[in-house]
Amino acid sequence: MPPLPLAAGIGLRAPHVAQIAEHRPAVGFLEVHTENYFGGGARLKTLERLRETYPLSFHGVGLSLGRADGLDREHLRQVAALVKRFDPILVSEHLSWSAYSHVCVPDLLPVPLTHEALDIFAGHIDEFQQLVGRQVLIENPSNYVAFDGLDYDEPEFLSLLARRTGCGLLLDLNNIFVSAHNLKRDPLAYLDGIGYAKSVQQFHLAGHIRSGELLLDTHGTTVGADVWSLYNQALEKFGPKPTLIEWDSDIPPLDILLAQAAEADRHTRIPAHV
Amino acid sequence: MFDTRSLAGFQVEFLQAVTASQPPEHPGLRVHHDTWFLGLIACLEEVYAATRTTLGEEAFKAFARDYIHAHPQVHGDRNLYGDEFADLLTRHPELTIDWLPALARYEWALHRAECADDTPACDFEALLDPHGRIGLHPATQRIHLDHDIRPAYTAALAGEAPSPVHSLVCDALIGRARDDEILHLCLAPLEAEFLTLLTQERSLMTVLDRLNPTPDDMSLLQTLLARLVQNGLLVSLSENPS
Repeated sequence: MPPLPLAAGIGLRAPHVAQIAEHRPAVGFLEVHTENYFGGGARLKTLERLRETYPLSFHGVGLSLGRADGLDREHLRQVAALVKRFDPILVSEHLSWSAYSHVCVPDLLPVPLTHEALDIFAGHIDEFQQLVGRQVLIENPSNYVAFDGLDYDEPEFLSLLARRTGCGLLLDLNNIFVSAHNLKRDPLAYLDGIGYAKSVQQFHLAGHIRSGELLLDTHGTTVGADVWSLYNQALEKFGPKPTLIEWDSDIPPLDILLAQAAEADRHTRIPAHV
Repeated sequence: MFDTRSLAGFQVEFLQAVTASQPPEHPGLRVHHDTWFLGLIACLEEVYAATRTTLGEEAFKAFARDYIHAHPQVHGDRNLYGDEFADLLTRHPELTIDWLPALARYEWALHRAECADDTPACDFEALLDPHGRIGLHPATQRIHLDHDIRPAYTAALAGEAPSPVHSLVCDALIGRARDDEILHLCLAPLEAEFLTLLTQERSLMTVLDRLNPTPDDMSLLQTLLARLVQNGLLVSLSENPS
């Protein structure tokens, strides 16, 4: 496995694919949503061509690791097939759930962090890593709902998962900031609460908006000043890691994403390269 | 707000709150409700771009809302969501454009042709196997059309008003060729019957025996078969093709 790129990457989104394929701009890596490449057709061949230039990161959004009724084995099989075919540098999923019984939702829903949830997540992460044959990084979600009667806070839960399963952690600084605001917590205390620092292997950065009392993790604006500041704190605590600029709604011209990636590189003092 | 002592019980309650027809009052739950609803609308808009343009934004959203409440998403793969949208339009009492279900059916077939699995296609050898079984490739969709829908589809995507859409009864194949080009084949009645028989667990020889085609018909079927096999629109369903 080649060394992980420290230059920032960008999410590969449909409006930019042709431009990136033609001009091959300098970014550290491209991250794709794994489920967008289920099935076949021209999309996969295009991704194969891009892989010749860029390291790829596969970021799952639909496996529902926190579901209480067992993983969807067919979904997992498709993830494994894609990982085998493209050999991405990073494979990640979320500390969330999105399906139970026969209903799925296109969202990352919050899990009450209890002993039972820890056992379920750990079992599913073991299953994932065994079948896919790769370490998975688990990303902290954005939170909008507080629960009573929990056994852990989120950093503690993530650290325990990493120790128990050998999974890595993907810290989304925007999600930490948004959740801290919405649940009235301290974002710096979150970073300090990650007791297993060496498990942190990737950062995500994105924009958010305010809606009434809440901050919404929209992935539709530039990264906010508070999140850049939190990123600096994370760099100090965990060191430079592959960092992604995420942008999923109101997708801007590619140049804006590249400028955000260059900004992330300035924070890590790493020249962009491929 | 939720009982978190059992994760399964919590997930049932939480899903009910998020997918309720009325948005929840709790601001945080409402965020999840909106993400669920707008996410599925976005899925449908992506697949049914021409149907949406023809209907207009608001009318499309109203039909999509009905669809989402009647058809929960059941796969984590969002490419599989929306398969029965044309059926909902067919049955919907408020739909006034009689050819719109055909347009939606056509768009679903195009969508599946573009993103279905890359299963290996069958070759002529498999087709000639007397014990072989043949099926349509997952990226080949067979649809029954009651209107000539392609001009309306092209006009809608170009943002133009559709010219009159004529009635036309035909079975069509929409498929992804080996070079990823999307093919449209309108089947003559004999070709449609031939393909029906061929994909009903019958070998090629059995089908030809049954149809007993004239030399002209045979020539038509040979041309069809050549197009289907060369473009990779068929698969072998035999476990051990000889």
